[in-house]
Amino acid sequence: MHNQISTAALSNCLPALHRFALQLTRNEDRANDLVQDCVERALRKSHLFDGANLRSWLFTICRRVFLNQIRSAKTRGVSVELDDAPQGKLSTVESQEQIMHYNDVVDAFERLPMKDRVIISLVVIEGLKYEEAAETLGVPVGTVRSRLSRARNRLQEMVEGTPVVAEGTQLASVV
Amino acid sequence: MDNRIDLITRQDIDAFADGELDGVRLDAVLRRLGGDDQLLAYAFKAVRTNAEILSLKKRLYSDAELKRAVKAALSGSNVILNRKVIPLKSADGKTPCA
Repeated sequence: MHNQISTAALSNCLPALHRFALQLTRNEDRANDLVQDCVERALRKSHLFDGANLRSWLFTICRRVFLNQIRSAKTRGVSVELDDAPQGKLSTVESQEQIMHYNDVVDAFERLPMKDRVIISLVVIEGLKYEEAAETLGVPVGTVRSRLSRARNRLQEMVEGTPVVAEGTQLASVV
Repeated sequence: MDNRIDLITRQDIDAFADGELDGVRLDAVLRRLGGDDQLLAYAFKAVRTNAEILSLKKRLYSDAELKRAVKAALSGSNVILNRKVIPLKSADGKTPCA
């Protein structure tokens, strides 16, 4: 069954989608681009929308588009028309804040135990599925899930200097 | 009204960020994310952390010990590194092998 996405419903989701994109990209221009790509994809793929929760569906698309952009930018760079490029994008110098943040991430990553660094590398960098990582490391899938979650938690705590949600916390939701 | 109760753990949100969820679990997480800004903030943080780690690959892999450990883990598995198909070349370095 095909579900049409109404313009009104889409418009209602845009502010939240933009906030989500802004938090992901930390840059107004990139957030606007991400929202536009996301909406274009949502409209092209509207036949796949199950009609249940448009906002959640858009966030899922946004996450995929964002990660795809990161992957493709790493392999082929980003090409733009000079006249169309915002001034901020013409600069090859990253903001000092961004550089410091990346340094914090690298520093925190290097302080993780080796087994945590390996599991993150296998799943996040090498793109292994949990089952593949489990097979590779000779451990159950549940161990991969918990180890990865714990490692990511430690990393975020070190970068932000604040405790994140405790592992295994159950977040009950009545729908 | 459907009074379904979904127990979502942080591991589920991490699995969502890693693209590991499907079926009813994915539906439950999406339902929860759709109505909970705090949980959504945790989810975007997980996605962003993944993206940052990915973009810092070169720097992180400059740690020779880590690179060796990852390579060793991968060499013992059936998984092809980065899922890239690297064409084999003959001894002259030009002709692709059959």
